[in-house]
Amino acid sequence: MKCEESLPLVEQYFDGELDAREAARVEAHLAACAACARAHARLETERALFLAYECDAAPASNFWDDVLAKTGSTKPGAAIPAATAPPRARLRARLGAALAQFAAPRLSPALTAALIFVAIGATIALMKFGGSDESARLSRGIMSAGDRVAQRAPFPDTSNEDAAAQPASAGDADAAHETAPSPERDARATKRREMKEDKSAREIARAGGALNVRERKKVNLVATAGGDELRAARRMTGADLPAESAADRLVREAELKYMAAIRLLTHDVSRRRSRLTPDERARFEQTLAAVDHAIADTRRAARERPRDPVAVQYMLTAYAKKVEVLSEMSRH
Amino acid sequence: MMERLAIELLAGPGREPCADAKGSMETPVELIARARRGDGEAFRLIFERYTRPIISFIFYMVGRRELAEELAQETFLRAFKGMDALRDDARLSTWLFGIARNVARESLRARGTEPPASVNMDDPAVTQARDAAPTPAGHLFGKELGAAVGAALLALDEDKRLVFTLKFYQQRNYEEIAAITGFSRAKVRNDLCRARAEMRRRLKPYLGGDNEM
Repeated sequence: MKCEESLPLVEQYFDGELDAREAARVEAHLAACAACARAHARLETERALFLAYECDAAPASNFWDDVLAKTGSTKPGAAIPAATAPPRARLRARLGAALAQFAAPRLSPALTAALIFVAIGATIALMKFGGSDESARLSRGIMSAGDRVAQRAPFPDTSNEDAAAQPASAGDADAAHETAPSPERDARATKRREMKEDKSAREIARAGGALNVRERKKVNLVATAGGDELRAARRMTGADLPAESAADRLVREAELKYMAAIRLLTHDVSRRRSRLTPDERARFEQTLAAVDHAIADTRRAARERPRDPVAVQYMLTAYAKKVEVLSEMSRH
Repeated sequence: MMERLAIELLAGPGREPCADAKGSMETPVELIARARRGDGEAFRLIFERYTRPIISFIFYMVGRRELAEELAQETFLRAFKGMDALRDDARLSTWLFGIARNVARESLRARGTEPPASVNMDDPAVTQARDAAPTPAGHLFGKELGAAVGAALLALDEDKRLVFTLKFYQQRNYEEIAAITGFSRAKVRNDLCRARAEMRRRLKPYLGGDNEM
């Protein structure tokens, strides 16, 4: 290597920015060339000189207090201050921020389509036909379509799912059952529904790609073992509940369908949990905790404003998010 | 993104997230999630470590200590507001220094295109040079030297000063400088070479000997 080739590279060599091959060539040249070696040595002298100009960068003691005071009234992603926005805008901002953080990837197309169908059906019914005669017709149509994509499951609650995911009116189930006018007819209808729901839950799992053949067989065994809680909750969606509009029933059905899917996936995830790395487990647990908070918030909002389709939609979206996260966990 | 930011937190110089969280068992992932949700304390725990580097960086860009601290506060405020927009693959320090660069640049342009003619030798932030001779003459020389270096730095154009500051005062490599500035690696290399040449020329009396390259 000659000086005219080496000199332009000496600074980069000094900065440690040459690749290994070129650095070796320059180093060999510096060892043999006094002039270039002096140039290299001067770079060190210059650096020491430049660093003579030091800055006392210690901040004032109240630096961060001032920073936080300035951030106190603004929050990332929040366009509307909480105190001044109309109720729906506040709800939208709060719930949108809560749901926006989840990073779980998309569901399989089949499961996504199924859950979206349920959510849209419930919301449309609430917006357009709440309490009217047409609502019965529409809800029958939507529910039969919902059966086709298979949204119900009778699985027992084997997970540690928090109470926030429970429907608020689950306690009404027993009372509703006791008022059934025809026990035999009711039992046959319940049996038919349960058989459909068994099938539905397996279809949900297949659509989400959560179960292989052996696992599906196991899930079938779990399904036949019964699910008192779910069945009791399911009873309240039937025509036995007096003075409940079809729209309300449809929303409750949608909620139960999500819960059923969540129970199924939670059961599967609980068995696969040991396969996750600690980091993955921590990430998922954190995401699930946030989802459960969102479910609790959105359910509360939907209960306070049962005729608000936005509140209902957010609630169903929160459920869908949980399904999404659990599906991702089960695929790991 | 959470994993990348958590790794940055854990890899930082001697700061354990759990210790930063004042004895709580909060993980970096939880801390970051809280900060993105608008939790000011979580934001502080994550970003406090960058306070001095950011103040230092801005100081070398604008030449005034008090202004540097104000602009550093503005930097963190913008970072707080912009956390939601932080890309998943972004490095936290690169992103933060990018904000600081913009803040410093805006301040310089607001104050006019001409840099200060000289550095105030009485500015307490202009510390004396490290000098083996603790004599009054040495002390004065150190102050004068620091002021001379400061003046030479402020005489560089904005791009060269930016690259030079990141290289010498933030110890960044070319790739990091390119990421922070948005310059190409070739521009970083060329601007650094030219900045060195200018500094060498302005500080020739202090370098002494044969310092031509």
